[in-house]
Amino acid sequence: MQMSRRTALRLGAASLATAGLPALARAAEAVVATTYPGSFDEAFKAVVGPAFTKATGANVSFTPLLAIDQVAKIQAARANPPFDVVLFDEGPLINAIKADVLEKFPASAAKTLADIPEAFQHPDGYAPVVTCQVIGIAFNPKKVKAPPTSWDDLWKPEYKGRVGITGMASSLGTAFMVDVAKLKGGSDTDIEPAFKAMQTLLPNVGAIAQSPGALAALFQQGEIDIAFNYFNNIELLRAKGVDVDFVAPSTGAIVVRTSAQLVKNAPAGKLATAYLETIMSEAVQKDLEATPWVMMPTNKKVPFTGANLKLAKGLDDLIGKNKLLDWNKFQHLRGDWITRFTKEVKI
Amino acid sequence: MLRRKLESFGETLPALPLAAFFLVAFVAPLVLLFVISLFESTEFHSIGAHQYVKFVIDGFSIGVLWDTLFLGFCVTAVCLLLAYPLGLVYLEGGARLRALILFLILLPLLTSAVVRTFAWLVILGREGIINNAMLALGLWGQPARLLYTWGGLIVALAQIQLPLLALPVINSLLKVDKSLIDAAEGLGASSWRRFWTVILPLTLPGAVAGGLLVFAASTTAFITQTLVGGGRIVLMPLNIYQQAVGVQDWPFAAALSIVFLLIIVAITWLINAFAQARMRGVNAA
Repeated sequence: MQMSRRTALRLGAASLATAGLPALARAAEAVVATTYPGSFDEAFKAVVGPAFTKATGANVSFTPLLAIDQVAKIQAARANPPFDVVLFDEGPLINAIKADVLEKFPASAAKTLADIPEAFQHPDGYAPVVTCQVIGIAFNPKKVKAPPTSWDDLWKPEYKGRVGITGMASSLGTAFMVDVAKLKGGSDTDIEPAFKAMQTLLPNVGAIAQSPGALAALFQQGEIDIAFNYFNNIELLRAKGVDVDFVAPSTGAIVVRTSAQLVKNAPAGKLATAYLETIMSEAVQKDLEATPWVMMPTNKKVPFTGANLKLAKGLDDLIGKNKLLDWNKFQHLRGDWITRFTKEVKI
Repeated sequence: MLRRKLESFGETLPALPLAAFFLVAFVAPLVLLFVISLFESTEFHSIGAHQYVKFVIDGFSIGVLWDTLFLGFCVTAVCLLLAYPLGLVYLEGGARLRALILFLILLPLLTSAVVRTFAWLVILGREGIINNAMLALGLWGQPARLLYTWGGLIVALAQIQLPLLALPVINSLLKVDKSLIDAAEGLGASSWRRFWTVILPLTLPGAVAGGLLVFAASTTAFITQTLVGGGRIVLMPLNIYQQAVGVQDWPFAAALSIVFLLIIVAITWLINAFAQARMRGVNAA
């Protein structure tokens, strides 16, 4: 093939430009945000990503990662963090603020806060809560005939080998243990009763999953019939045709507040704030609330619909009849709890 | 004199980039890891052997270490049991059979360990291939627990790591002088005796090299250990991950890593030394 000098130059320039593109995109045109593995990731990719691109013309790339891995990664690379926006439950958020890796929510974006209830705004000015996760009892309705009513149902002898649990490194496992402890005479800081109760649960435990998402997947694989889990994990599986259902225990479900936060020294800058505004906007919250994602909205203008109505009439009702935990009281104890749980809860 | 020195320096020159890379990417992080392990607490104030004392006093981590080494030995043993028959069939087979065996051994290496591990989840699951087949055939009354068990983990790891052992074993089998085996046969040695006294000692270098690879790879196989072992089997890699990321106790996690590393290095060194002594014995005899 004959190639003129001009063609060759043009080809060379084009290939150089393409090669340089990813680096440019990272510098200005995209936000790198984390999600949680499982339903969270699917929902954010389907709803938040397209909405953000439509609003700003920029892209967002999602990395599904557990909160504890996110803290570790941004702590390990403070000057050049791998993410612009991170997603934290209440516990990891306390750690991240203590480690000084987060930027406060800029005052310029304060207008978006008007629609967020007081309980979902951060007292020290960090970004507000973007969704909350509701913890209750998940079960296979084909195997568990009468819907469970309390955590105690997990201890019933008929579920020998059929109960799934996950460790205290997750908010899920920690919230469950603290709630069980409080119901059995313990407190936010004294969860001894829960550790005692876990010993009597062991004969029933069929699997200890690595993460909440993995725990939900065990229903799909038929490994377990009953477990504590997040409402939206389970609803998403149910929408996919898996035999699984969810109930709040009669003592109240536990509500865990999840916020998206700005990472210090992150390259995306203003674009990252725009990403937060996108998540909190009425339109996006509405789509996240709809089937099959059924993520709890934190924007007051978004009414509950569909499956979420099973849990509460609206945001105020949800907070009113369920429980929020004060993670500030026990976050500093979690390290020891995680280690102890791994040591003692073995099957 | 000077000229010769310069020449020998010139000869080592091409190795310098590799050495520099090694220094930056391997030695430096290792030194850093060791330094972190010396801090008394997560506040990084004072220095001492506190974390190592904690490891010895705390029975849990020692138990986990034993379990991990035990897993390594079991997987290596299973791989050895599988590799020799495979190698002997290869040795006796024709060109077509040889190509087929080699292809089957290499095939798993072409997919990632994650994919191979997920395949085992599908095979071993409660509603997986084995359970469904046994239930359908009426051989089992109810599904057996295969996933999240030691047995399941050992079998899965053995399959995943087998190429590391099978290839060196086949290679050393090919190098065995066939006349030695014929001589042993001519002198009336049974096939078992031929294997134990001729084939095994002569292929020991390959078996040891492959065995060490399998041992090191299976004790540190974080993905397979956590996915097939689940949360119920806690081994060193998961323990280190939990301390580093879950508990955020970097000094203790670093100390665990250093201890784990030294133990693995010591074991490989011992086995190597033992095998070399044996081989010297074989050569002398």
